[in-house]
Amino acid sequence: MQEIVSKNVWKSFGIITAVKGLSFEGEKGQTLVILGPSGAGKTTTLRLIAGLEELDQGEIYLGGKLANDLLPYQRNLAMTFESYALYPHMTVSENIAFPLKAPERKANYSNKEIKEKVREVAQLLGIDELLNRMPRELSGGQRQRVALGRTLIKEPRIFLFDEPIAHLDAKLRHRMRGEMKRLFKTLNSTVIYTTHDYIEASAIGDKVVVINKGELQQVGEPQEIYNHPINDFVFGLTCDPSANFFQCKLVKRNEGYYLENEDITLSLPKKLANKILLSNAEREIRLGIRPIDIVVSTIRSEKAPLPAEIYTFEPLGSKLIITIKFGQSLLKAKLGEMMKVDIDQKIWIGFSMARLYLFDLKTGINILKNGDKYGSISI
Amino acid sequence: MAQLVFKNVWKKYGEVEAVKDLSFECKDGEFLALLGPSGCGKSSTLKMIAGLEEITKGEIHIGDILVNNLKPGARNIALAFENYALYPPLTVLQNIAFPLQALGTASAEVDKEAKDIARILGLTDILNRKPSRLSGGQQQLTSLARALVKAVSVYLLDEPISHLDADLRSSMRGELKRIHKEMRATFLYVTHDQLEALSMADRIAILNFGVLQQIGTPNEIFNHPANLFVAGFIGEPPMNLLETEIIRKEGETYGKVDGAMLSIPKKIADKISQPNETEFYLGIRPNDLMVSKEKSENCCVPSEVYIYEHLGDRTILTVRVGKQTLLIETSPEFKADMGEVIWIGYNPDKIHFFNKETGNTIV
Repeated sequence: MQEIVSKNVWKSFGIITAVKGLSFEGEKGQTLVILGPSGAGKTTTLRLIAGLEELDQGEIYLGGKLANDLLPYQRNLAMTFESYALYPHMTVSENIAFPLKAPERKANYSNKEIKEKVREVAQLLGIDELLNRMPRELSGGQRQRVALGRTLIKEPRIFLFDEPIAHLDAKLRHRMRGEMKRLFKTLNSTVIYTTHDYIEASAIGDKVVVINKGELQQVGEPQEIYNHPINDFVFGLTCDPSANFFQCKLVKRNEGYYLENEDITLSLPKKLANKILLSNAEREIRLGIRPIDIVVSTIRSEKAPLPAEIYTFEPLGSKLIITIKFGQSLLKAKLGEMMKVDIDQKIWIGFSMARLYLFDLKTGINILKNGDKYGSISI
Repeated sequence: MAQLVFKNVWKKYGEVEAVKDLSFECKDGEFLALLGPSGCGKSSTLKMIAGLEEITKGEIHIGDILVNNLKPGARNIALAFENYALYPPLTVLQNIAFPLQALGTASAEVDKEAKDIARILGLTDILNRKPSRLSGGQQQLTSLARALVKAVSVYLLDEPISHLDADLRSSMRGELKRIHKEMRATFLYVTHDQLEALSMADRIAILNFGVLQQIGTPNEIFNHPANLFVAGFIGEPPMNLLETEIIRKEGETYGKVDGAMLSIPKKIADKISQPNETEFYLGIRPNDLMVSKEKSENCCVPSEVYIYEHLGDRTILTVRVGKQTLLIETSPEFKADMGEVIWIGYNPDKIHFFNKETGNTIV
């Protein structure tokens, strides 16, 4: 059974439509990540599920029951925000216990039970030795865990997290990301989690819901999103440090088909060319390639046949990011190993042809669908 | 010639020692990064160079001149901050030209110099805009141009890009590297971000608790960290540091990590010489570890998958060997479930040993 169902949900604030016909589902025990840039409608979606906003149209089902008219506290959810919002005058223990002392739950727990539950949750989060400290005596990561503890103790049906670790520094974010993932799996919790960072979404999510400008783009497992992005927007989100795009035209010459612009000519198998012709009257294509799929070499080879120049480079310990001046464009390449390079150096580049993406210039739709097999594209 | 020399410099605020016996040199034309966590003394160091703080003890030389007693204006330096602080009523060009006009430079020359630096920073097309019409990155570049327009001995850059968003910061790192190369000027760049230091600097000086930990090229710092602090501070994800007991048996040396016995190659074992010392930290970077589903000659240490994170073009595994946790960076094709036992191995040339008490690097 689906634990959470959002069915054609709409929400406007005055003339701004924040969520446009959003539909997705999540199973029990699944971590569902809502991924999108700022302003995509992530937080609004989460608030609609929590009952903090009223929806204009559509249905939200929680545990199989229509929840549209339920008040927030009747929905049995717990929400954690980016800001921890701990009570500064209460100890860690009192902060964690707080939800159990709320009026609608108070009758259910004795003081002894509360104490025991606090200890249990604190142990799970590795903060059992901090129970008597005040929030100001804690580090950022510890505070985040206390806020998490306060959420966990309610044993809700669904956990909602709104960018919970976005403001932590890189090292702590990395650690918390892993710990939260493990925690969700251990507790077999149903989680809805928002982020603007594909890497975080991929690391933590069983299922990723990509939205942009309030509209659903794609739902799928992280790897599916990465390997088969539905359009150029989703592709762009999955590129690190950023996507490389070329605008090309499909041309026919001497019975052969080519994708061309002033810098490159790619020869296309006929089947693929036909597919483009069918889908795209203008014959204009946006070619996408990830930084990791660009081959860089100091010598010309079959894999790196195109002359280019190094604009700048960033060695990052075990990785190397190179900005390449190639014809009219600046491309980003990411290398998994170090290579000695310098600014303005002449190099040779190539693309991993099996990892090229073709998007319709107008609609942005990925022309190569999941499972399509074509002869290889070549330079 | 060294443009900036620190000789046994101390800074005390009452009882607190912010900078302790700091000595280093920044060569002419060098891009030197001063790197450390907050509270490491890098800001105090910068302020002493700029003349905004007095030097408690020691000497600072800028361009061969002892500057201990010189006023900030007489030190032949330029400073760029994190905060851009542009003049809102002035255009980009007027903002950049301002420091030269303040010096009373002839206006034809001011114009030429300002336009020249604007070209290097890629601002030529927006010279007539007001700051309110610029993006964050353009404002930052304008502020940098204003700092770089004066010809001085040393340019001090204080976390100039740390508040920009991730994408812009990444592109600014590359741009700054180009700018430095074109200007051939001496840059002292203060940052807490190891990626900025690694990606841009010719050399990095790492500070912690006011003490210089190591100074060297990014390659040296990354591959040959001087101590436990540097090893743990540099690298993302960070280096794995494991408590290890050295056991010598029948001419072979082993590192015992929570029950698992790792064989240690002779050339490394020979350097861990003192027979009475047995406790060390073993360091290995996440991408120098190998993983396999099956036991093999290369991968013979069993470990339990604690967390599995697929990140698109790579996978991070958090595994447990006994009670110790390791991070492993591997290809996205490797899949594993929480609780699964996998076999790990390492490239013996890539391991580091640190003295457990002093934290100093042994190998």
